[in-house]
Amino acid sequence: MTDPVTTAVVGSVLNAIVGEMNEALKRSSYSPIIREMLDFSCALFSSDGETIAQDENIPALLGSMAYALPALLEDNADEPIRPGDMFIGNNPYRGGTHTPDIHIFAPIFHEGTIVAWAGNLAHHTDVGGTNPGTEGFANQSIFEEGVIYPYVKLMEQERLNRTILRIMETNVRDPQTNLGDLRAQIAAARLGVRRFGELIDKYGTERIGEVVRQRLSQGEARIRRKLSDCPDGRASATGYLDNDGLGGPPQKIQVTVEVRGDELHVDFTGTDPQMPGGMNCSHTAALAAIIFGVKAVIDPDGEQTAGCVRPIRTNLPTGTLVNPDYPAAVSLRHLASQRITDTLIRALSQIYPAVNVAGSFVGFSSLAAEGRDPHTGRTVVMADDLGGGMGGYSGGDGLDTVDTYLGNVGILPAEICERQYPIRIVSTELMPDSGGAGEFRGGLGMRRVYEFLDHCDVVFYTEQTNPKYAPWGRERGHVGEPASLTLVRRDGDRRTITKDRILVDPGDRMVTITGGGGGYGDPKRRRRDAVLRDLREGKISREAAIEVYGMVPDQAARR
Amino acid sequence: MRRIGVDTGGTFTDCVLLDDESGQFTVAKVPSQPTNPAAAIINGIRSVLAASGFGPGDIDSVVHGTTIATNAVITEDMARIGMITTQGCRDVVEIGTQRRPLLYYLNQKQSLCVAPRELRIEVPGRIAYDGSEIEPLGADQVRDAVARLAEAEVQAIAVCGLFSIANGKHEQAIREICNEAMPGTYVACSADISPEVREYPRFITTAINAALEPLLVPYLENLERALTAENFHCALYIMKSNGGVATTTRSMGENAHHLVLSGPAGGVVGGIHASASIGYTNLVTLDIGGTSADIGIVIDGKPRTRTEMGLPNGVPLFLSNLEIETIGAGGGSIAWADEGGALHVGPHSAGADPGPACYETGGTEATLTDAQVVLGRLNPEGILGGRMKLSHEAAARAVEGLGRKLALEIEDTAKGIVAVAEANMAGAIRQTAARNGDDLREFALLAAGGAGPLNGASLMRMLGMRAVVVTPYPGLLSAGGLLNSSLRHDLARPVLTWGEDPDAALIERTQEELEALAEKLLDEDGIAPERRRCAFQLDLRYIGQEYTVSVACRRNEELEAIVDRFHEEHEKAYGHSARGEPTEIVMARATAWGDFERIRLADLDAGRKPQAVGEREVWFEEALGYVTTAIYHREALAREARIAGPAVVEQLDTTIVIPPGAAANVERSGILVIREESGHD
Repeated sequence: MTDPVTTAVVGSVLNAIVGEMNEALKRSSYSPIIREMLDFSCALFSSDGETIAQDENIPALLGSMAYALPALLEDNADEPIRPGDMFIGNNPYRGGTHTPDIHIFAPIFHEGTIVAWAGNLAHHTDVGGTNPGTEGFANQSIFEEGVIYPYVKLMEQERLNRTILRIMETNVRDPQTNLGDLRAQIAAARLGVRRFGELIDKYGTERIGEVVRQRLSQGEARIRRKLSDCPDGRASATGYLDNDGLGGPPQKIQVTVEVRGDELHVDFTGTDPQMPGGMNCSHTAALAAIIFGVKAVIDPDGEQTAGCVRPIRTNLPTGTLVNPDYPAAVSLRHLASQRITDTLIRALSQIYPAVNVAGSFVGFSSLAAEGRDPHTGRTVVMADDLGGGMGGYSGGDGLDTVDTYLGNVGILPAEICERQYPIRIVSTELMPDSGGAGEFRGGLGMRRVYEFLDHCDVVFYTEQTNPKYAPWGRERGHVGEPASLTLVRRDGDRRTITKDRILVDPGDRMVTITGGGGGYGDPKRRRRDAVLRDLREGKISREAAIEVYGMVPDQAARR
Repeated sequence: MRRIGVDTGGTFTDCVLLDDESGQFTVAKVPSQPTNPAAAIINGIRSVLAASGFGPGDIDSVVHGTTIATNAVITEDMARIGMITTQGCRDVVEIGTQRRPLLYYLNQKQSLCVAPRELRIEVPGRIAYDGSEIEPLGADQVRDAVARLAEAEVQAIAVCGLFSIANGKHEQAIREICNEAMPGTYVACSADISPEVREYPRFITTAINAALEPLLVPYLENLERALTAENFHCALYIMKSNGGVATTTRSMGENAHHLVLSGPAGGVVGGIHASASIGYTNLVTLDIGGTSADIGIVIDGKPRTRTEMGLPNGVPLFLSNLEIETIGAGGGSIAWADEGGALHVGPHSAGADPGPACYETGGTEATLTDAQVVLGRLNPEGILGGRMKLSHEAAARAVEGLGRKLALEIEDTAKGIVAVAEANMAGAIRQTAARNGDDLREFALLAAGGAGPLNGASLMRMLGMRAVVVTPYPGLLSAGGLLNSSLRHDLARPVLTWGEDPDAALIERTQEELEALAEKLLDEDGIAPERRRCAFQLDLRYIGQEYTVSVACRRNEELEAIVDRFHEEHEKAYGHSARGEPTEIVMARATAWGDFERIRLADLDAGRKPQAVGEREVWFEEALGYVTTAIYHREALAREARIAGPAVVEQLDTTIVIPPGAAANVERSGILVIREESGHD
């Protein structure tokens, strides 16, 4: 057994290696989705595929590479793996998340044997398929979701496999971006291999092996201790998606959690069967959603390794929307992922008293428009995803208008939008009264109005338009307001949308309203100065101050 | 010339006085007074004058680095401001990027918006992306808005118009109405404060500028008055976030927010000239204090700058600033074991209160400083020339306590704490270097702060760097840095034109304006023509990209050649380029400098061989145990002195550790350089 000091020192070096890989990938990537939205992740793995260290950019990718490498090893059992090889894969049915997330894995050799792996995953803007950007709520099978790379060698003994590059560039809408991002991924994986090699030179493989084992068991012990501190118990919660993407009924996610000693059981029995559309959540993405939920509840500042996952037992029944059977479409898995996390947190909150939060907005109201660049006339694709309110918690209000839980993407600036796309952002504002009332108020949602200046082909979608499934309140806190999308044609015709693809004309407007977070605690107990401040700031209306928060009309009138 | 540098830190106010003719360097350290920083500054100046024998009339300039703006933004305690903004935009500054400051916390506190929502007022009037007017400004509504803000007694007004960078006419009109209705109230227009495309960063930078201005003006005026009362009649300069200084007049108004990193900037520029004088122009600067370590990068003698920075609460500021990475690893960083039995050091710090256990001022948890005491690296007789006693016993008790939780012996615990802290620092340096593709083998480590030289040699080894440079006063590097900087103006004007079909006349006109402005500013600053410099840059990007690359250029240079260089620079910075893809030129920039005298430190005499003043047992990893180690005093070292490790060199403001296999040489001007001994790798 190795000493805790070596473990900590080597651990710090491992973190620095993934951090350095992360910087290298970001620096040389091509697309804004990687460089600005940070939708990528780098990691190191043990020889049998367990995550040793992973960087932290976007929670949706937390721990999600851990399932790809074992699948890779299985699929290549008969294939000789040599130094300088590198694999590419994106199969959601073999440890992947959804097809746009492309994994790269490089073996790390020492004296002829594989001692570890360096890998990374990056969201490519488009990997082909029916829709620009690949993702689509109406996709009916994985075959609409671009090219699938089944863990084949992208590189053989340092030699790039041109065949794969040519297949890629022939099947996507913007090959230059894909190839640029892929090069960045290769560079980052190589850096990981080199740095790990230096670590081996210093400590030797045996010692590193011991350190890794101890590091994982420390992470495991930390989570077990935290679970032991949590009273044993069992609780269930249900959450719903508004529909199946093709106009079908609400879709149920049912989760039962049970803390028993130092283990946590998470069971999705009772969840609805897989959907005909593209919002199913692949097995790996569902696990990432679970890992995030558990981490947020019991271990927000702990270092994430494979060890942290060991005390968590999961049951994701096959054929359901949280673990669909091949070849169901899964590209828009994010909507279900967010609901999984939200429902899990809701269930955990019933047995874990420290989880004193209300539900957050998980609607992820989005718009993707294909149109012409106002200056050059080139075809351009604009995308914008809007956040909403986080739930209030015992001690504070939820954050207003943020991308919640697994997401963390930025909003499109109005000045970039109008300059690059034939779309004007008319207004961007907080939505008064949208946060669920409570002693600690839910965060506000937002209202953003887009005006189309030219003909565009637009995909709109949102979740949580149904008040029944709006962000939940806690301890007598109220639910948050739901989201809505309204298309206002130039002639004044108004139409409410949940998910649709529409040709719009100049002068048409889209009014997007996102949901507020749930409230925590009885609104009547909210501090009066906080109610007055909200009133002064226009975050709540006078009616709400009087009727919901119980202000005396005189007081509410005073500004 | 004789100049004084005065740097206000959280604990101490450092003062240095330099006589350029003799090279005489006098220093003083006095306690800071957070409620009245000027009083501490005057105390420090009095001490340094007394120690040097000069009087106020002998001093030609005073240069000041301040944390007042830094503290105001960190504590969110700024002036009460109002905002007048385009219809539909008042929440832009509150919504921000919609990213969460902390990824995994469900219960995080909302940071205060710099202007309360009821004081952010929308007015009709819209400019399109190309600068054309879609809707005229609603002047009546502006007057109503100003009346409301006047009634609310705001101290300043931020004017934030959409696309004001393409056409600033609405913002200017609003400013005029404000000036009429509220004469004397500061008004900041976004196109003047931060002429960047993207409304959120521009608006928030403008709002922070407006909220700092009413705090900084009285502070600076008060300081000027206090200096006058002390019979100083020289110029007062203030350090800015970009590592350059400005006159007090130019540190106010639309430049107020440039003081946000005034404090740490001196630490990066402080050692540049000294290091260059002995041949090191690529530096990683590492300033380790009580709670944190600041890492900066110097390339070819120039500190690396960037145009964006993040405040601790996640709010971005757009201004030219030095790229400084701060990590929670300092002398007071607390070592702890988590629920899984893993050892961590920091980011929590015992700070100055309760302080490390060895200070015996109430701290009981083991800190990095306590570990250094246990390992014999810090003199238990005391640091700061014996003014601060360190209790070996208290340090040992704290470290032993942690060791019990980890089932480790005391020495193993102590060296473990040091090793983990150093690994964290090395990791942060590697990541900083990776961000720009720097190869650390081409860099020297400038070790500064009270604790930097303790860890410097170990980090040099871990990172394969060339050397460790320790200037004569590493604990006063920031204050010294104040005297090393030039006066600097960063000027920018948006141009927004296409790279392949550029409006060359627009760029020519803009650069001409920038140059004229630079000349005017330097002239007003009293900089003699032969000390002025001006350089131009154009910011380009591929259409569709959000971020730009600044390409250095000459005035009126062929634009085709500049676009060509953009592809090259893009390749260098990001590892790829796309010749043939359309580009756009978004900003014309000019940097104007006014150079002062450079610090010329008095050279030491070559003298006798260094004499150890004593010895003690010091733990070295390289020796796998305690080694009887010679102790030297820095001030007794002559030029060309050579000390082979293991050795410890002590001085008033720091302790320098030289491990076995390395050696220190005292070079020109008393600069100490640690390198690997030949044959040792």
